[in-house]
Amino acid sequence: MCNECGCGLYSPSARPGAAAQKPAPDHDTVVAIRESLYSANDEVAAQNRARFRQHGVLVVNLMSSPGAGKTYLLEILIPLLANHGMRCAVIVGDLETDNDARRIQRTGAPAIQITTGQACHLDAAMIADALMPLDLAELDILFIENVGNLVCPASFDLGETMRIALLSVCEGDDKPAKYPTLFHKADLMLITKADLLSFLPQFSPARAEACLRALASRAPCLTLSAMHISSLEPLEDWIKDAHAALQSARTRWKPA
Amino acid sequence: MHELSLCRSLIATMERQLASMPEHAGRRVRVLKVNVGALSGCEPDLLAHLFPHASPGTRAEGAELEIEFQPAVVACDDCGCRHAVGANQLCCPACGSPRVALVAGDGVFLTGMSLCADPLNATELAHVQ
Repeated sequence: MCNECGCGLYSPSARPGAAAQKPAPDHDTVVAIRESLYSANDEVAAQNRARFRQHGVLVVNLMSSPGAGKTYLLEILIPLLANHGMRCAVIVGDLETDNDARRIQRTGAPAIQITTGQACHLDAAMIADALMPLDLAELDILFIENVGNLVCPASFDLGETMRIALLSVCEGDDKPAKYPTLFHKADLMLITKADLLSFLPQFSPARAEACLRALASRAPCLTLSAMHISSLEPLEDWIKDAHAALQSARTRWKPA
Repeated sequence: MHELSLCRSLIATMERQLASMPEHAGRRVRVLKVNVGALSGCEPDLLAHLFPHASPGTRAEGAELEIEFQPAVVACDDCGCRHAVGANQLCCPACGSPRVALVAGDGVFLTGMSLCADPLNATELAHVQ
């Protein structure tokens, strides 16, 4: 008799490879399916994306390891964008503390902290909840500062328009090769803390970019330091272009 | 690192699929087949290790998890060929072009279930419902 269901039938050919150890009865029903295990998250992400598009908000998901400089970059960048009339808000994810949200609030931008406890990434439902106090009609750009982690955030669509991967020069320049899922999906790679390059000759921006290109990525790669405001200009331009492209796409999609 | 939540998602996906198949209502799940892509962010060994911790009290309790690893596959826009490639070498291996589409290896999927002919008994049904 079968040890698993007691049915008394064996079928050594039912599952090649595993058949010898655990024969499946040939009256089992085998059902073929193909459903993504991320489908529940993806459905919520699609709802988020539709809301963002309705209000013409550019949503930028910032991903990196902890300490790559996401928060400091936002503290410097948001006032620069505000000078160009861009209204920004931030949703920031951390395992603990609301320190980052408080730092960003000092720029005058609304910042909402998600503390994930032990969760290593943000998911689309957390973003949907965090959006509640925000008036999207009053926003041009929403930054989502993901939990510092180069693995899990890559797999969760939040409904964002663009993904930026940050790599600080204090890290290995081969990170794109080590964490291909995250860097492959990035629309822009930022090499941050470039003011430290003279102390860290082992980091080669060219090697980091070569690792990115090996992922068949045609995303731009910008090297900058938030300590030197002029080095942020190409990033500002990229964000303004992405925002303009979003607005023109919305105009085209409007029914005649 | 989020394989436990993927196990829970696997079981929820299984339950949703079973709910859409009234002809198989109340049947025991013997095998769940899962396809794990090289660029999915999911570690197959960890998934296999954690599944027995996520399944008790569900209809997947005692089921076997069959994991199939899916390498990354790219289709080249320039030379038209299709190749399995390394997860961090995604350009076309034939012509070197970065103009490729990732056509496989980018997700985790429930791809099949094997259902026993024998239904669950009343005690087991009460347990999973």
